[in-house]
Amino acid sequence: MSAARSSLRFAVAWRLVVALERLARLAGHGGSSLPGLWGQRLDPRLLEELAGTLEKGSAVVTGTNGKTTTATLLAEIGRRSGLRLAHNAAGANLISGLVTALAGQRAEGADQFAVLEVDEATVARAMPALRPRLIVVTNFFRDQLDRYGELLGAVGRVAEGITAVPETALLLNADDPHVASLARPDREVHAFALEVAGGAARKPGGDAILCPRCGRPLRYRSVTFAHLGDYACPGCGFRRPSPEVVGQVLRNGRETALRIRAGGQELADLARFQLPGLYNAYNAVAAAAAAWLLGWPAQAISRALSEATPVFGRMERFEADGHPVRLALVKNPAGFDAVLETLAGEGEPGALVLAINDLDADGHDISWLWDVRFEDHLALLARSRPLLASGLRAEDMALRLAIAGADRERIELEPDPERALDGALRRLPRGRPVTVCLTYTALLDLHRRLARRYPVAAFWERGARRGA
Amino acid sequence: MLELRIGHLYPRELNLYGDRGNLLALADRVRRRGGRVTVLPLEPGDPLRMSEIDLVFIGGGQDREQRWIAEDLARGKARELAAAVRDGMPLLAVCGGYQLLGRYYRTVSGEKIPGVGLFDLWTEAGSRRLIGNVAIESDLWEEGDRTLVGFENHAGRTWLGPSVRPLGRVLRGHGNNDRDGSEGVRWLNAIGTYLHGSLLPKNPRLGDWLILAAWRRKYGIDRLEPLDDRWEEIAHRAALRRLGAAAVQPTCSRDRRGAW
Repeated sequence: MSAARSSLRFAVAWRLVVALERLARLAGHGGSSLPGLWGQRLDPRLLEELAGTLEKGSAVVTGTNGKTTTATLLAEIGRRSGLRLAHNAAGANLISGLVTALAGQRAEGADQFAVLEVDEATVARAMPALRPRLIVVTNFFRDQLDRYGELLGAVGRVAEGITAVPETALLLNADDPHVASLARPDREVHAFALEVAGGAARKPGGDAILCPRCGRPLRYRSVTFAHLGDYACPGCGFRRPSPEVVGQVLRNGRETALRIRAGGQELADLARFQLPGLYNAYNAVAAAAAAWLLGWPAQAISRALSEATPVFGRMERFEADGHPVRLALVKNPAGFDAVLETLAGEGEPGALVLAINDLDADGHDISWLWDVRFEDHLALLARSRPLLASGLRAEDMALRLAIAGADRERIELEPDPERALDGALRRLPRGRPVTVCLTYTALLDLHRRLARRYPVAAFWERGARRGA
Repeated sequence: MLELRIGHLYPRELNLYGDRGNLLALADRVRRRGGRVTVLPLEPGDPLRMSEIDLVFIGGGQDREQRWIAEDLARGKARELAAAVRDGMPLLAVCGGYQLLGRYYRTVSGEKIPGVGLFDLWTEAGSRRLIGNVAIESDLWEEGDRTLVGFENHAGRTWLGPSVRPLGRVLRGHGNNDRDGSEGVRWLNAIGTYLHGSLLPKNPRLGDWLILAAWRRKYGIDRLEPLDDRWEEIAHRAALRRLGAAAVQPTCSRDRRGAW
């Protein structure tokens, strides 16, 4: 094919995606994947061509948890550094979603740099097209076993993607043994880690306790969160790489102070970090480390992190009929535990709705619910009134609560999350809060339905619009 | 006070797919009957003191963990375990644990991991994983609902030898090998299965079957106080409904046994 024909094809495919995306948005759909799918069909090299037009390249964020938050924080730092920056803010992280985001935002002039979150299974296919400057790997948890069979499957796909782009630098979470095992001697590799007061007393969770190199059990000197911490293998000597960027977490009562340092330089010193949970401290350190490696100013890092507010469904807040309502995305034991811990630390729980779906994007296997430590939060369950199990797997959720030891008489079943929320709102005294914990598709659906009634921003308008 | 002491083999290494839920369900059923549950975690290297255990549970793991565990089991534990099961000890092994208790497991890469040989069965990995919701019909008891529900996710195809029977017949899903319609294994009071989900919470009758086997052996009792299993039954029925398996729910005659 001649160069002229190929560039014509690109121009047509690109404009098609832009037009379809606008149409979808006008029609009130998120529309973050379909336009890209059609564009890619017209020009199979569309992703590569779009990535090639980015003046300063791109950074990719992958891993099981924290992709959306880390990418959102990194994009925010980039914008505050003065970049015209594209970002798949709605979390559409398969090839089609990447194409849609890059095409749409290029049309709006965001053509200098891109921050893209990429699904673990897509990394291997997307990397040769994107050829990013930096790949950030957050962690590997086992919330997607029914997709990969085993945790190591996901690790393998990311490793494959990394191998395909030998010139790309890596930023790895030193505290996650599987992530750290992705380091290659012939590569530019950087690592970040978290230090938490009191971490030495904890026991590691069950995800990654065997050495990724030789298969022997790892020894932990300290644990921050689940299987993350400072580990070493007594067999082959594999150990936590020494991190260049370190976040220190200090808890002052309910407030979290976070200080992030890179070498001798201070990237951020936040007396109050607003995102809840230790997992978000990890996301912040990952984003700060990436920004630092990309050469963005520390001032932008510090500002963006101090003003960070929860992204779509990550403890998002709005008001409904005089009640504060919060939506918390839950998709694996570690994340669910973190949400429960946050709720247990608060005064008045109000109503609690737990909505579990098992569609493709949630994972068909919901056995992970049995690894969530509801047993540790019986006081929270007893104070939550009403306590509603919801979603396509409402019955499983209700049974989980019953076996945890919640009052069997008080558990209620309402498979439709919107009706569950309405029921809670109706019965609660005015001003009392409602927390809805829900899996991805339940969140997407509830969000869409609530947006018609309450001031909940349509999620695809967040972030993407903010930078414009 | 009635007590159930559960030996949990390799809780750190074999702990995939919410295996913990099986222990939680057993503990809940014992406690609601006023009894006491002790879980003894047994790590690699720990001695197996069978006299301190009433029931054994072993969960699932990835290939790598299984290899590590197979070595530990081979160091004498396999023989003790087999002796206890022959003596009537109830045992539940799920997924990876189930495979390990057979004669061998050949992985996708062709490596042969030797098993314990407790169950007369062997497993060969297939290229496609067998994944999804499952319903089976079991003949562990004669009366009432004999369905068990769960979720399966395994690359291994398990084939049963002549001296063991399957746990049940597949109504929906793949089962042992996606060929002969069998699921799991039963030998005396020991059960192996691919069903997780977790298995026992949604199949309370199976939980009681195990508890009764343990207490019959320990205390000589032959029936358990019934419990209010409203949530268990709602979840069990919902699983059958989702699978469309309610329609094939059995009134199956006993002479079809052994024909699998």
